[in-house]
Order: sequence, then structure tokens, then C-alpha cells
Amino acid sequence: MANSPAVDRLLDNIRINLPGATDNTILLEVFNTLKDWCKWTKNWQLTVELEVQPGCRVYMFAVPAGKPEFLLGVAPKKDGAVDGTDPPSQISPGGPGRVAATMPEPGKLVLQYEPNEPQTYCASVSLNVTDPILRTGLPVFPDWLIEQHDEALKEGTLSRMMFQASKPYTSLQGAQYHGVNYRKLRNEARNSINTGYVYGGQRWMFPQTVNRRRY
Amino acid sequence: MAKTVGNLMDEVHVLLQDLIPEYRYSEADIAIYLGDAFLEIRRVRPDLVRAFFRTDYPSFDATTTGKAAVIPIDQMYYTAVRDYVLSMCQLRDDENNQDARSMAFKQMFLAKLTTAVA
Repeated sequence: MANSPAVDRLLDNIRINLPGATDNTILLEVFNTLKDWCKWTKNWQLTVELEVQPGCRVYMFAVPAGKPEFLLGVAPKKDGAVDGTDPPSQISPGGPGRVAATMPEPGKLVLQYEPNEPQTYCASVSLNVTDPILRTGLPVFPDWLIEQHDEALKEGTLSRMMFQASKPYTSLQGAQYHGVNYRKLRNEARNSINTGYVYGGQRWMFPQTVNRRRY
Repeated sequence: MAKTVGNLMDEVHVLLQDLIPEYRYSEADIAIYLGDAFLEIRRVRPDLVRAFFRTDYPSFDATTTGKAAVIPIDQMYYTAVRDYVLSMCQLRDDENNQDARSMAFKQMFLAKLTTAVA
């Protein structure tokens, strides 16, 4: 299985900035960067449907790839505002018609109250990369994530690589420079993701308490 | 094309002016020095031997099969491994050897592994 052109381009961009770095090490740090990226931005989201029954508050669910990391919200499917095809970010905790629930372990949904009747719930989760690693040396993740955020992932990986000790490409200044760039791009992306990539949809990044459009 | 143990032995013999069997620096000795190189690399550049973190380090021998084996390191660091083997050969207490030359090879080995390019 070969990498997509976007992944190849990302790796080439990283390689030319790191003389003496081996591909194995670069792939390891790309994994670490992706993990940090998904955790902070909640860029990779999925809505799963659960058949809930009266008398049961705990439900296990599986996702086709990645690891469920954060529960973004749960809502009944029959709620007109939410179904499996809606953007996952439309399900927000605390919004109208939302179901109180937690996810104490990845893939384990605990409802605060037992359902009154059998029905279908939609649970929106953010995913993160996990094992197994493919033969390409990278985990499973959506290609669009690299295409859309390749610059940020490059900066993050360069920062991590340059921070390693006693390598030809070790550079504390470089690590700091690329680290600042990465965090800046990560925060911008996080804001874009929260607003569903709608231009001008949300101009406030801080403080969130005055953000009345969020829910 | 990936460099094999046999390639390395040939190149070491050329650089040591040791082209006529019976060799002064036997292939069995070179195989031992090659194994030592990986232990030294583990110390200064563990990322290069990441494949051996959960297994034994590679061992080499001068059999036909052993000489056909590919040296399990990124090819851009092949010359560093060769430098280490050369330094160990030159370190032997033979009358034709030079300590300074041995040290030079050792320094080249370390420089190639750790020195910033720019």
C-alpha cells in the first residue's frame, strides 16, 4: 500500500529540512504530531448510531478506524436537527435536545439517565490515531486531513525532530521556531473546526464565554 | 542497491591495501567489527537502530550467506559504518598500523553520525 501524493509531499517537505534523518524516525514523529493534532483540534470526527434500550445506561461502540477520544455530544436520531448525515460538530453537549452522557473509556458510552423507550441515538466523537501502523509506517487517518493541514503537520514534525538530542538535525532554535508556527496553525485550525469551516462564522477565539453562536 | 556485508569487506580490504588472500584482516574479524559498530551506533544514534529495540542486535559472519546479507542500516550511513570497521582494523597492534589513522576513522565515524551538516 502506497502513500497518497499528499502524504508523500509532506514527507518530502520534512526530509529536505532534516539532513541525516531516517524515514523511520520521521514517521515516528509524524505519528506523534498527528496524535497531538487530533487531540487538540478534534479535526477527525465521526457520528455513530446506537440502539438504546430502557434499563441500560452503558453502551459499547466501535469505530472503523482510529480511537474515540472525546465525546462531542449525543442526541436522539429522531430529533429533526440531528441525524447520521449531519455534520458531527452540530451535536454539541448542552445544546437543545441533547442527551447527557459521558465516555469514561474509548468506545464506552454512559448515559446519565436510562432511556424511556427503545430508540436510536447519534453519538458524535472525535477520533485520534492509534495502532496498528500500516506497512507505510503511518497509522490510518483520512487523507483530507493531510491535504488540508500539511503545513501545520510539517511544522509540528520538524519541531519534534529538531528537539531530539545529539542528531545532525538537532536545533533548539529551529525546534522553537517550528513549534511556535505549529501551535499557531493548530489554534487557527481548531477555531476553523469549531465553526465548521465557515468563513467568518466565528470571529471570537477568546473569551469563549461571550460566544453566543457556539451552541 | 543496498550494500551487503560482502561489499563492505571488499571495500575495507581495498582501503587497507589488503587485497591478496590470506588477508591480514580476515573476513571473520571484519564481521566482528561490523557487529561492534551497531553497538556503538546504538549508543550515539539510537534512532538508526530502532528496528532492534525489541530484538537482538544483528550479528554478522563471513560465510557465503552471511556475506550476501544486507547491512541493516539506512544507506546514507553506510560509510560511517565502514569508517568504524576501518578504525577497528587499524587499531590492532600490527606493525603496519597507525594509531593516528585509526583515530581519524573513528572521528569520521562519529562526525558522520552526530555533527550538524549546516
